[in-house]
Amino acid sequence: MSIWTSARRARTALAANPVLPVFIAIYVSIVALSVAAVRTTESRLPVEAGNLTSYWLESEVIAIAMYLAWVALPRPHRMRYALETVLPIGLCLYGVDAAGLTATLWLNLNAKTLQMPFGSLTGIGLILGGSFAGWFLGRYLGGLAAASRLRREAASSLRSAWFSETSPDGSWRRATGITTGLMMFALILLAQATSPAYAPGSPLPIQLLAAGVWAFTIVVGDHATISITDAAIKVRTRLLSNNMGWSVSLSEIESARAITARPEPLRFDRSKCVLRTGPALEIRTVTGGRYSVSMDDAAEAVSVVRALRPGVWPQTRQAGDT
Amino acid sequence: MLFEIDTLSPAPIYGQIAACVRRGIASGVLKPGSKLPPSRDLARELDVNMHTVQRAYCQLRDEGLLELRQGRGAIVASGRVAPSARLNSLIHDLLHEADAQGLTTTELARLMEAMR
Repeated sequence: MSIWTSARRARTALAANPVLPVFIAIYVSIVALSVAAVRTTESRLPVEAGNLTSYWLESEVIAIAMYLAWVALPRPHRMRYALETVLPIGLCLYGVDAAGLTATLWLNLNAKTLQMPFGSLTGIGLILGGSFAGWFLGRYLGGLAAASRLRREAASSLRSAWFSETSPDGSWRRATGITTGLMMFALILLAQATSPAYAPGSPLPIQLLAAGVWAFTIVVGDHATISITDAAIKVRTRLLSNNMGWSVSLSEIESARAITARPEPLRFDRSKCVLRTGPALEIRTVTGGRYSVSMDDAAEAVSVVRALRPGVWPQTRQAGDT
Repeated sequence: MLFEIDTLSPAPIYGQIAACVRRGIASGVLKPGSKLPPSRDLARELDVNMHTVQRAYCQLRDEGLLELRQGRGAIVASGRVAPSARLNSLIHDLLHEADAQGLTTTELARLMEAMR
Protein backbone atom coordinates (compact mmCIF):
# COMPACT_ATOMS: atom_id res chain seq x y z
CA MET A 1 0.00 0.00 0.00
CA SER A 2 1.46 3.34 -1.02
CA ILE A 3 1.86 6.22 1.35
CA TRP A 4 -0.72 8.18 -0.65
CA THR A 5 -3.30 5.41 -0.26
CA SER A 6 -2.63 5.32 3.50
CA ALA A 7 -2.95 9.08 3.73
CA ARG A 8 -6.23 9.02 1.77
CA ARG A 9 -7.67 6.29 4.02
CA ALA A 10 -6.61 8.16 7.14
CA ARG A 11 -8.25 11.33 5.82
CA THR A 12 -11.48 9.44 5.09
CA ALA A 13 -11.49 7.90 8.57
CA LEU A 14 -10.93 11.28 10.21
CA ALA A 15 -13.71 12.85 8.14
CA ALA A 16 -16.11 10.07 9.20
CA ASN A 17 -15.15 10.53 12.87
CA PRO A 18 -14.69 14.28 13.37
CA VAL A 19 -14.27 13.80 17.13
CA LEU A 20 -11.28 11.46 16.72
CA PRO A 21 -8.80 14.24 15.78
CA VAL A 22 -9.90 16.14 18.90
CA PHE A 23 -9.15 13.09 21.06
CA ILE A 24 -5.77 12.63 19.38
CA ALA A 25 -4.91 16.32 19.82
CA ILE A 26 -5.80 16.24 23.53
CA TYR A 27 -3.87 12.99 24.13
CA VAL A 28 -0.75 14.24 22.34
CA SER A 29 -0.93 17.65 24.08
CA ILE A 30 -1.15 16.09 27.54
CA VAL A 31 1.82 13.77 26.97
CA ALA A 32 3.91 16.51 25.31
CA LEU A 33 3.15 19.05 28.07
CA SER A 34 3.88 16.47 30.80
CA VAL A 35 7.25 15.47 29.31
CA ALA A 36 8.16 19.13 28.72
CA ALA A 37 7.25 20.08 32.31
CA VAL A 38 9.44 17.30 33.75
CA ARG A 39 12.38 18.14 31.47
CA THR A 40 12.15 21.86 32.30
CA THR A 41 12.19 21.32 36.07
CA GLU A 42 14.63 18.38 36.05
CA SER A 43 17.50 20.25 37.73
CA ARG A 44 15.32 21.21 40.71
CA LEU A 45 13.91 17.73 41.38
CA PRO A 46 15.26 15.20 43.93
CA VAL A 47 14.92 12.24 41.50
CA GLU A 48 15.77 11.55 37.89
CA ALA A 49 13.29 12.98 35.42
CA GLY A 50 12.98 9.63 33.66
CA ASN A 51 11.63 7.96 36.83
CA LEU A 52 8.83 10.48 37.20
CA THR A 53 7.89 10.46 33.54
CA SER A 54 7.70 6.67 33.36
CA TYR A 55 5.76 6.41 36.65
CA TRP A 56 3.07 8.94 35.76
CA LEU A 57 2.79 8.23 32.07
CA GLU A 58 2.41 4.44 32.30
CA SER A 59 -1.40 4.80 32.28
CA GLU A 60 -1.15 6.61 28.96
CA VAL A 61 0.48 3.52 27.51
CA ILE A 62 -2.29 1.37 29.02
CA ALA A 63 -4.98 3.67 27.57
CA ILE A 64 -3.47 3.58 24.10
CA ALA A 65 -3.06 -0.22 24.35
CA MET A 66 -6.74 -0.55 25.36
CA TYR A 67 -7.79 1.49 22.35
CA LEU A 68 -5.61 -0.41 19.90
CA ALA A 69 -6.73 -3.76 21.36
CA TRP A 70 -10.37 -2.82 20.83
CA VAL A 71 -9.67 -1.68 17.30
CA ALA A 72 -7.82 -4.92 16.56
CA LEU A 73 -10.47 -7.24 18.02
CA PRO A 74 -12.55 -8.98 15.34
CA ARG A 75 -15.89 -7.73 16.72
CA PRO A 76 -18.73 -5.81 15.07
CA HIS A 77 -18.68 -2.02 15.54
CA ARG A 78 -15.26 -2.13 17.16
CA MET A 79 -14.32 1.33 15.87
CA ARG A 80 -17.55 2.77 17.23
CA TYR A 81 -16.95 1.35 20.72
CA ALA A 82 -13.28 2.34 20.66
CA LEU A 83 -14.15 5.96 19.82
CA GLU A 84 -17.27 6.42 21.90
CA THR A 85 -16.32 4.50 25.05
CA VAL A 86 -12.65 3.42 25.23
CA LEU A 87 -11.18 6.83 24.38
CA PRO A 88 -13.37 8.67 26.96
CA ILE A 89 -12.22 6.25 29.69
CA GLY A 90 -8.63 6.73 28.53
CA LEU A 91 -9.02 10.49 28.86
CA CYS A 92 -10.02 10.01 32.50
CA LEU A 93 -6.75 8.08 33.09
CA TYR A 94 -4.86 10.87 31.32
CA GLY A 95 -6.50 13.43 33.59
CA VAL A 96 -5.42 11.50 36.71
CA ASP A 97 -1.84 11.17 35.48
CA ALA A 98 -1.43 14.72 34.22
CA ALA A 99 -2.78 16.08 37.51
CA GLY A 100 -0.65 13.60 39.52
CA LEU A 101 2.47 14.65 37.66
CA THR A 102 1.65 18.33 38.14
CA ALA A 103 1.13 17.75 41.86
CA THR A 104 4.41 15.79 42.14
CA LEU A 105 6.34 18.59 40.44
CA TRP A 106 4.60 21.22 42.58
CA LEU A 107 5.43 19.45 45.84
CA ASN A 108 9.01 18.49 44.98
CA LEU A 109 10.53 21.61 43.46
CA ASN A 110 13.79 22.23 45.36
CA ALA A 111 12.99 19.38 47.83
CA LYS A 112 15.69 16.98 49.09
CA THR A 113 13.59 13.83 49.21
CA LEU A 114 10.75 12.89 46.91
CA GLN A 115 7.23 13.21 48.28
CA MET A 116 4.38 11.55 46.39
CA PRO A 117 1.17 13.62 46.09
CA PHE A 118 -1.05 11.01 47.82
CA GLY A 119 0.19 12.27 51.19
CA SER A 120 -1.05 15.87 50.90
CA LEU A 121 -4.45 17.45 50.46
CA THR A 122 -3.14 19.58 47.56
CA GLY A 123 -1.97 16.47 45.75
CA ILE A 124 -5.18 14.53 46.34
CA GLY A 125 -7.25 17.54 45.30
CA LEU A 126 -5.29 17.94 42.07
CA ILE A 127 -5.59 14.22 41.25
CA LEU A 128 -9.33 14.15 41.91
CA GLY A 129 -9.77 17.37 39.91
CA GLY A 130 -7.78 15.94 37.01
CA SER A 131 -9.75 12.69 37.00
CA PHE A 132 -13.11 14.49 36.98
CA ALA A 133 -11.98 16.97 34.32
CA GLY A 134 -10.78 14.08 32.12
CA TRP A 135 -13.96 12.12 32.81
CA PHE A 136 -16.32 14.99 31.93
CA LEU A 137 -14.36 15.95 28.82
CA GLY A 138 -14.15 12.32 27.66
CA ARG A 139 -17.82 11.71 28.28
CA TYR A 140 -18.77 14.89 26.42
CA LEU A 141 -16.61 14.03 23.41
CA GLY A 142 -17.84 10.41 23.39
CA GLY A 143 -21.45 11.62 23.42
CA LEU A 144 -20.68 14.08 20.64
CA ALA A 145 -19.22 11.30 18.50
CA ALA A 146 -22.26 9.06 19.04
CA ALA A 147 -24.76 11.88 18.39
CA SER A 148 -23.08 13.00 15.16
CA ARG A 149 -22.86 9.42 13.85
CA LEU A 150 -26.49 8.59 14.60
CA ARG A 151 -27.81 11.89 13.26
CA ARG A 152 -25.79 11.36 10.10
CA GLU A 153 -27.41 7.94 9.68
CA ALA A 154 -30.96 9.26 10.17
CA ALA A 155 -30.97 12.66 8.37
CA SER A 156 -34.70 13.50 8.10
CA SER A 157 -36.88 16.57 8.68
CA LEU A 158 -39.25 14.48 10.83
CA ARG A 159 -37.69 13.93 14.23
CA SER A 160 -39.00 11.98 17.19
CA ALA A 161 -37.76 11.33 20.69
CA TRP A 162 -39.12 9.20 23.54
CA PHE A 163 -37.57 9.15 27.01
CA SER A 164 -37.52 6.92 30.04
CA GLU A 165 -35.40 6.48 33.16
CA THR A 166 -34.51 3.55 35.34
CA SER A 167 -32.77 3.35 38.70
CA PRO A 168 -31.06 0.36 40.32
CA ASP A 169 -32.58 -1.91 42.94
CA GLY A 170 -30.95 -4.11 45.61
CA SER A 171 -30.09 -6.93 43.23
CA TRP A 172 -27.99 -4.58 41.07
CA ARG A 173 -26.24 -3.13 44.14
CA ARG A 174 -25.29 -6.62 45.32
CA ALA A 175 -24.00 -7.67 41.88
CA THR A 176 -22.11 -4.39 41.31
CA GLY A 177 -20.73 -4.35 44.85
CA ILE A 178 -19.18 -7.81 44.37
CA THR A 179 -17.75 -6.92 40.95
CA THR A 180 -16.40 -3.49 41.98
CA GLY A 181 -14.95 -4.82 45.22
CA LEU A 182 -13.00 -7.58 43.47
CA MET A 183 -11.73 -5.18 40.82
CA MET A 184 -10.59 -2.60 43.39
CA PHE A 185 -8.82 -5.30 45.42
CA ALA A 186 -6.89 -6.43 42.34
CA LEU A 187 -6.02 -2.82 41.43
CA ILE A 188 -4.72 -2.05 44.92
CA LEU A 189 -2.54 -5.17 44.89
CA LEU A 190 -1.18 -4.10 41.53
CA ALA A 191 -0.52 -0.54 42.76
CA GLN A 192 1.34 -1.87 45.79
CA ALA A 193 3.45 -4.19 43.67
CA THR A 194 4.43 -1.46 41.21
CA SER A 195 4.88 1.39 43.72
CA PRO A 196 8.35 2.95 43.30
CA ALA A 197 10.85 2.10 46.03
CA TYR A 198 12.21 5.66 46.16
CA ALA A 199 8.85 7.19 47.10
CA PRO A 200 8.34 7.51 50.87
CA GLY A 201 4.99 6.60 52.42
CA SER A 202 2.40 4.08 51.29
CA PRO A 203 -0.51 5.24 49.15
CA LEU A 204 -2.65 2.34 50.42
CA PRO A 205 -4.96 4.32 52.76
CA ILE A 206 -5.67 6.84 50.02
CA GLN A 207 -6.33 4.06 47.53
CA LEU A 208 -8.69 2.37 49.95
CA LEU A 209 -10.50 5.66 50.56
CA ALA A 210 -10.78 6.36 46.83
CA ALA A 211 -12.01 2.81 46.18
CA GLY A 212 -14.58 3.14 48.97
CA VAL A 213 -15.89 6.48 47.70
CA TRP A 214 -16.03 5.20 44.14
CA ALA A 215 -17.83 1.97 45.06
CA PHE A 216 -20.26 3.83 47.34
CA THR A 217 -21.07 6.36 44.63
CA ILE A 218 -21.66 3.67 42.03
CA VAL A 219 -23.76 1.50 44.28
CA VAL A 220 -25.90 4.37 45.58
CA GLY A 221 -26.08 6.80 42.73
CA ASP A 222 -26.11 5.30 39.25
CA HIS A 223 -29.13 5.36 37.00
CA ALA A 224 -29.78 4.98 33.28
CA THR A 225 -31.52 7.29 30.82
CA ILE A 226 -33.10 5.65 27.80
CA SER A 227 -33.99 7.58 24.68
CA ILE A 228 -35.59 6.25 21.52
CA THR A 229 -35.41 8.56 18.53
CA ASP A 230 -35.99 8.26 14.82
CA ALA A 231 -32.23 7.69 14.59
CA ALA A 232 -31.40 5.26 17.37
CA ILE A 233 -31.99 3.76 20.79
CA LYS A 234 -29.52 5.18 23.30
CA VAL A 235 -28.85 4.13 26.86
CA ARG A 236 -26.68 6.34 29.04
CA THR A 237 -25.54 5.73 32.58
CA ARG A 238 -24.62 8.61 34.83
CA LEU A 239 -21.44 7.12 36.30
CA LEU A 240 -18.88 4.62 35.01
CA SER A 241 -18.15 6.98 32.13
CA ASN A 242 -21.14 5.52 30.34
CA ASN A 243 -19.39 2.14 30.19
CA MET A 244 -22.69 0.33 30.65
CA GLY A 245 -24.44 2.45 28.05
CA TRP A 246 -25.01 1.48 24.45
CA SER A 247 -26.54 2.87 21.30
CA VAL A 248 -28.04 1.03 18.37
CA SER A 249 -29.12 2.65 15.14
CA LEU A 250 -32.79 2.00 14.27
CA SER A 251 -31.78 0.78 10.84
CA GLU A 252 -29.84 -2.07 12.48
CA ILE A 253 -32.74 -3.36 14.57
CA GLU A 254 -34.26 -6.67 13.60
CA SER A 255 -36.64 -7.18 16.53
CA ALA A 256 -37.64 -5.68 19.86
CA ARG A 257 -39.43 -7.30 22.77
CA ALA A 258 -40.13 -6.94 26.48
CA ILE A 259 -38.39 -9.52 28.67
CA THR A 260 -37.69 -10.13 32.35
CA ALA A 261 -34.03 -9.64 33.31
CA ARG A 262 -31.90 -9.94 36.44
CA PRO A 263 -28.47 -8.36 37.24
CA GLU A 264 -25.61 -10.83 37.60
CA PRO A 265 -22.21 -10.23 39.24
CA LEU A 266 -18.98 -10.51 37.25
CA ARG A 267 -20.72 -10.14 33.92
CA PHE A 268 -18.79 -7.66 31.79
CA ASP A 269 -21.23 -7.33 28.94
CA ARG A 270 -21.67 -3.70 28.00
CA SER A 271 -24.65 -4.49 25.81
CA LYS A 272 -26.69 -5.44 28.90
CA CYS A 273 -27.64 -2.48 31.09
CA VAL A 274 -29.66 -4.47 33.61
CA LEU A 275 -30.10 -2.30 36.70
CA ARG A 276 -33.00 -4.13 38.35
CA THR A 277 -34.81 -7.44 38.47
CA GLY A 278 -37.90 -7.00 36.36
CA PRO A 279 -39.07 -5.87 32.93
CA ALA A 280 -36.49 -4.92 30.33
CA LEU A 281 -36.35 -4.01 26.67
CA GLU A 282 -34.37 -6.42 24.50
CA ILE A 283 -33.17 -5.48 21.02
CA ARG A 284 -31.78 -7.87 18.45
CA THR A 285 -29.81 -6.47 15.55
CA VAL A 286 -29.46 -7.72 12.02
CA THR A 287 -25.82 -8.56 12.77
CA GLY A 288 -26.85 -10.90 15.60
CA GLY A 289 -26.18 -8.49 18.51
CA ARG A 290 -28.42 -8.58 21.60
CA TYR A 291 -28.86 -5.46 23.74
CA SER A 292 -31.02 -5.03 26.81
CA VAL A 293 -31.91 -2.34 29.32
CA SER A 294 -34.12 -2.41 32.40
CA MET A 295 -37.23 -0.22 32.26
CA ASP A 296 -40.67 -0.36 33.80
CA ASP A 297 -42.36 0.75 30.58
CA ALA A 298 -40.64 -1.83 28.34
CA ALA A 299 -43.88 -2.72 26.55
CA GLU A 300 -44.45 0.94 25.62
CA ALA A 301 -40.85 1.17 24.41
CA VAL A 302 -41.44 -1.81 22.11
CA SER A 303 -44.46 -0.08 20.58
CA VAL A 304 -42.45 3.15 20.11
CA VAL A 305 -39.71 1.20 18.29
CA ARG A 306 -42.36 -0.40 16.10
CA ALA A 307 -43.89 3.00 15.32
CA LEU A 308 -40.57 4.62 14.47
CA ARG A 309 -39.23 1.72 12.48
CA PRO A 310 -42.05 -0.15 10.73
CA GLY A 311 -41.15 -3.78 10.12
CA VAL A 312 -39.68 -4.34 13.56
CA TRP A 313 -41.92 -6.81 15.31
CA PRO A 314 -41.71 -8.03 18.87
CA GLN A 315 -40.75 -11.68 19.01
CA THR A 316 -42.92 -14.12 20.87
CA ARG A 317 -41.48 -14.60 24.30
CA GLN A 318 -40.07 -18.07 24.81
CA ALA A 319 -40.33 -20.11 27.98
CA GLY A 320 -37.22 -19.89 30.15
CA ASP A 321 -36.11 -16.50 28.84
CA THR A 322 -34.67 -14.27 31.50
CA MET B 1 -43.97 10.32 26.03
CA LEU B 2 -43.13 10.80 22.37
CA PHE B 3 -41.91 14.18 21.12
CA GLU B 4 -42.34 14.71 17.38
CA ILE B 5 -41.27 17.70 15.30
CA ASP B 6 -41.02 18.51 11.62
CA THR B 7 -38.23 20.94 10.77
CA LEU B 8 -39.86 21.72 7.40
CA SER B 9 -43.19 22.69 9.01
CA PRO B 10 -44.04 26.42 9.00
CA ALA B 11 -44.87 26.13 12.72
CA PRO B 12 -41.93 27.13 14.94
CA ILE B 13 -40.07 24.22 16.52
CA TYR B 14 -40.60 25.47 20.07
CA GLY B 15 -44.32 25.60 19.33
CA GLN B 16 -44.27 22.01 18.08
CA ILE B 17 -42.46 20.84 21.22
CA ALA B 18 -44.95 22.73 23.42
CA ALA B 19 -47.84 21.20 21.44
CA CYS B 20 -46.44 17.69 22.11
CA VAL B 21 -46.45 18.36 25.84
CA ARG B 22 -49.97 19.84 25.71
CA ARG B 23 -51.23 16.77 23.87
CA GLY B 24 -49.48 14.52 26.40
CA ILE B 25 -51.18 16.32 29.30
CA ALA B 26 -54.55 16.42 27.58
CA SER B 27 -54.49 12.71 26.75
CA GLY B 28 -53.37 11.75 30.25
CA VAL B 29 -50.01 10.30 29.16
CA LEU B 30 -48.35 13.02 31.25
CA LYS B 31 -49.82 13.09 34.71
CA PRO B 32 -49.38 15.85 37.32
CA GLY B 33 -45.91 15.46 38.82
CA SER B 34 -44.48 13.70 35.75
CA LYS B 35 -40.94 14.77 34.98
CA LEU B 36 -40.09 15.92 31.46
CA PRO B 37 -36.66 15.20 29.95
CA PRO B 38 -34.00 17.85 30.64
CA SER B 39 -33.92 20.51 27.93
CA ARG B 40 -30.31 19.62 27.11
CA ASP B 41 -31.18 15.92 26.50
CA LEU B 42 -34.30 16.69 24.48
CA ALA B 43 -32.42 19.23 22.36
CA ARG B 44 -29.65 16.73 21.67
CA GLU B 45 -32.03 13.94 20.66
CA LEU B 46 -34.16 16.19 18.44
CA ASP B 47 -31.01 17.86 17.11
CA VAL B 48 -32.27 21.36 17.89
CA ASN B 49 -30.86 24.22 19.93
CA MET B 50 -31.23 23.91 23.71
CA HIS B 51 -32.71 27.41 23.90
CA THR B 52 -35.52 26.27 21.57
CA VAL B 53 -36.54 23.59 24.08
CA GLN B 54 -36.17 26.03 26.97
CA ARG B 55 -38.44 28.50 25.15
CA ALA B 56 -41.09 25.78 24.76
CA TYR B 57 -40.81 24.88 28.44
CA CYS B 58 -41.03 28.55 29.46
CA GLN B 59 -44.15 29.02 27.34
CA LEU B 60 -45.77 26.01 29.02
CA ARG B 61 -44.76 27.38 32.43
CA ASP B 62 -46.41 30.70 31.58
CA GLU B 63 -49.57 28.78 30.63
CA GLY B 64 -49.48 27.11 34.05
CA LEU B 65 -48.87 23.65 32.64
CA LEU B 66 -45.31 23.15 33.87
CA GLU B 67 -43.29 23.99 36.93
CA LEU B 68 -39.63 24.77 36.26
CA ARG B 69 -37.40 24.33 39.27
CA GLN B 70 -33.66 24.78 39.49
CA GLY B 71 -32.00 21.38 39.72
CA ARG B 72 -35.26 19.43 39.36
CA GLY B 73 -36.08 20.19 35.73
CA ALA B 74 -39.55 20.53 34.24
CA ILE B 75 -42.47 18.94 36.06
CA VAL B 76 -46.11 18.77 34.98
CA ALA B 77 -48.14 21.08 37.21
CA SER B 78 -50.85 19.84 39.57
CA GLY B 79 -54.17 18.44 38.32
CA ARG B 80 -56.29 21.58 38.48
CA VAL B 81 -54.84 22.85 35.18
CA ALA B 82 -55.88 19.72 33.27
CA PRO B 83 -59.17 21.07 31.74
CA SER B 84 -57.47 24.22 30.41
CA ALA B 85 -54.59 22.09 29.15
CA ARG B 86 -57.03 20.03 27.10
CA LEU B 87 -58.62 23.17 25.71
CA ASN B 88 -55.20 24.67 24.94
CA SER B 89 -54.20 21.53 23.13
CA LEU B 90 -57.40 21.51 21.01
CA ILE B 91 -57.00 25.22 20.15
CA HIS B 92 -53.41 24.72 19.09
CA ASP B 93 -54.35 21.74 16.93
CA LEU B 94 -57.17 23.78 15.37
CA LEU B 95 -54.86 26.72 14.65
CA HIS B 96 -52.29 24.36 13.17
CA GLU B 97 -54.91 22.76 10.91
CA ALA B 98 -56.26 26.18 9.84
CA ASP B 99 -52.73 27.29 9.06
CA ALA B 100 -52.18 24.18 6.94
CA GLN B 101 -55.40 24.94 5.00
CA GLY B 102 -54.40 28.57 4.44
CA LEU B 103 -57.11 30.09 6.69
CA THR B 104 -56.30 33.29 8.56
CA THR B 105 -57.23 33.68 12.23
CA THR B 106 -60.04 36.11 11.27
CA GLU B 107 -61.50 33.64 8.77
CA LEU B 108 -61.30 30.89 11.36
CA ALA B 109 -63.05 33.07 13.96
CA ARG B 110 -65.77 33.89 11.40
CA LEU B 111 -66.21 30.18 10.70
CA MET B 112 -66.52 29.42 14.40
CA GLU B 113 -68.98 32.26 14.89
CA ALA B 114 -71.14 30.89 12.08
CA MET B 115 -71.22 27.46 13.71
CA ARG B 116 -72.51 28.72 17.06
